[in-house]
Amino acid sequence: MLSSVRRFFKFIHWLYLQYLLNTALYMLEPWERVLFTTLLFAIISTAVYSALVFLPVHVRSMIQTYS
Amino acid sequence: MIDTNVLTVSENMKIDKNNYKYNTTNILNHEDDLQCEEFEETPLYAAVLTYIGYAILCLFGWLRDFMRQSNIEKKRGAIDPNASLDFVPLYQSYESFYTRNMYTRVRDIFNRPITSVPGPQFELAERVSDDYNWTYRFTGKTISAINLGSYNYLGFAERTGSCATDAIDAIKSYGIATCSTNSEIGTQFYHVELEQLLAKFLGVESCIAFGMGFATNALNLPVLASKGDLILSDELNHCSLILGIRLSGACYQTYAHNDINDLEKKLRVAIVQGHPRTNRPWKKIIIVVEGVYSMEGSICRLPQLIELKKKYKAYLYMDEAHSIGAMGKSGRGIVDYFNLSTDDVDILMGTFTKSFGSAGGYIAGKKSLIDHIRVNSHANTYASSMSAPIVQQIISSLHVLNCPEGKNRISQLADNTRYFRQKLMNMGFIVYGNKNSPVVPMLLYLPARVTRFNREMLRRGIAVVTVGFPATKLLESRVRFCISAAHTRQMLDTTLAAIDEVGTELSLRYSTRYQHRRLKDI
Repeated sequence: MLSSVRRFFKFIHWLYLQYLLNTALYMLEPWERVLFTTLLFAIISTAVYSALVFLPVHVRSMIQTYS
Repeated sequence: MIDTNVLTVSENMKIDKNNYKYNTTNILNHEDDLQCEEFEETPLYAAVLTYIGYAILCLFGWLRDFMRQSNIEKKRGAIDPNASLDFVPLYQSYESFYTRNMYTRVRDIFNRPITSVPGPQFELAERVSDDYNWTYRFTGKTISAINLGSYNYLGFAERTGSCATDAIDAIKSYGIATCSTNSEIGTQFYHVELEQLLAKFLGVESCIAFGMGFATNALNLPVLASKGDLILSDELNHCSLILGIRLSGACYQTYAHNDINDLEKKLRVAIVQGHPRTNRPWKKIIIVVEGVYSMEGSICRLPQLIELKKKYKAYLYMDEAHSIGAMGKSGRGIVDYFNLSTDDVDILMGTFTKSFGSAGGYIAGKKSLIDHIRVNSHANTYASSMSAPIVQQIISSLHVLNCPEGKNRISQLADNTRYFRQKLMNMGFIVYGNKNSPVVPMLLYLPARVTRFNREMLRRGIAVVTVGFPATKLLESRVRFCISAAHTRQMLDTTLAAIDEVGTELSLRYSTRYQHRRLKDI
């Protein structure tokens, strides 16, 4: 039980390391990492929110236009 | 046309236990071929991630430069002291953009000071930075690490042994400095002994030695070539060769790396068309190649080059800096490796820094050539002659190479090289170059993975040399392992286990030709 929790946290740490390595954030200072991650989070969350709010309305109107 | 390596491509698709298809094409069908080398293409995802990484670093570089320019942050690099007066600016600040914003961030992985002899294992001075690598302070402790960065191919970098004792005796007998140049009063009998011994070792008529390997290339190419000549040099030649070619004043063209067809095309065009504007014939054409290219691990195609030079009556200059002592059955370099005759290569150049554990360079060839160089070379007339212990180290190592102990070193190096390369390729890493070259470049591509690899290996007690952008192409950052005859099988196994672990953690197994395997499965 404890070992699987530990392995899960190790996996999360490994995922975070992959994120840092693949975006070259590993070489930047901590405040630059926070800045980049905040910007990235803001962009992704805006996209997801707009999709959640507007996608049903758009899909319904598309079905109405083409049927 | 010259018939270069016959490529037979036989495609086999293998599927491993994860249902991942591996494309195993046999690029060369001779497994024992002396010219069996591989340069696998960059995988697309690695190239994309590398560009994304550099783009993000560039963005943050602009941000930090803006902050430095508008005085939000202090300028840490070199500052023009008279910027306010109307002088022309002293530093081109955009050229150092890469140095300020990408290199300095991870500078602790480069240029580490060492505190012991660079043998197979050595001590590194531990240093810590409080301000992100702009300044360092030494903690006073040393880190003991396995050395995979020194060009110690035959293991002559040692504090004890016959070479070291002889060198110390030479200091006691002859002192350290000769205080003169070779042409005045600085030529001692041990210089003559060195040159005769080296000429006998290489199997040439005569030889001349200089105090610095870089200067041997840079100052002697102007003696051999001048205005009115053409030099065809490989595109990946070393900086010293390029400097020598430019200093000579001859016209030069580069041909694609190790590509004999491209070289032949350029030779034919040069002979037919002559000088670019006047169409006069070239006085002579020199082909400049290296024996072993230290960044790629590839070996020059000597048999085809000799055939080509005989057909078109050109001269061949071979720089054997990394291959003398390390290649060939008796360590006599690339000519020995291919079992050819030294009469065919007109100018053989090499250095003593790598395999002989000393310093300096030499040029070997026919007696008339060496006499001409002796009279006309600036390196002979104006450089101070080689110091006694350095010459004695080379003489002792040449004596060792003629005994059975030397033969042991050479075969140990070949053994280590083949073992290390084979294991790395079987694990699924991309390794460039010929399977017999002691220089093993492994590709890492992403800048962040390069830094992390270097730091993790040092944490595990293995010091490696990673190279990035200005020395290699932007995409192809790599780690370069230099195998030594002094490495024991156990050291290589420790290294391979560490590479296996770090490679799994950082997903460094890029190869599509070999299956990705853990070390314990090989």
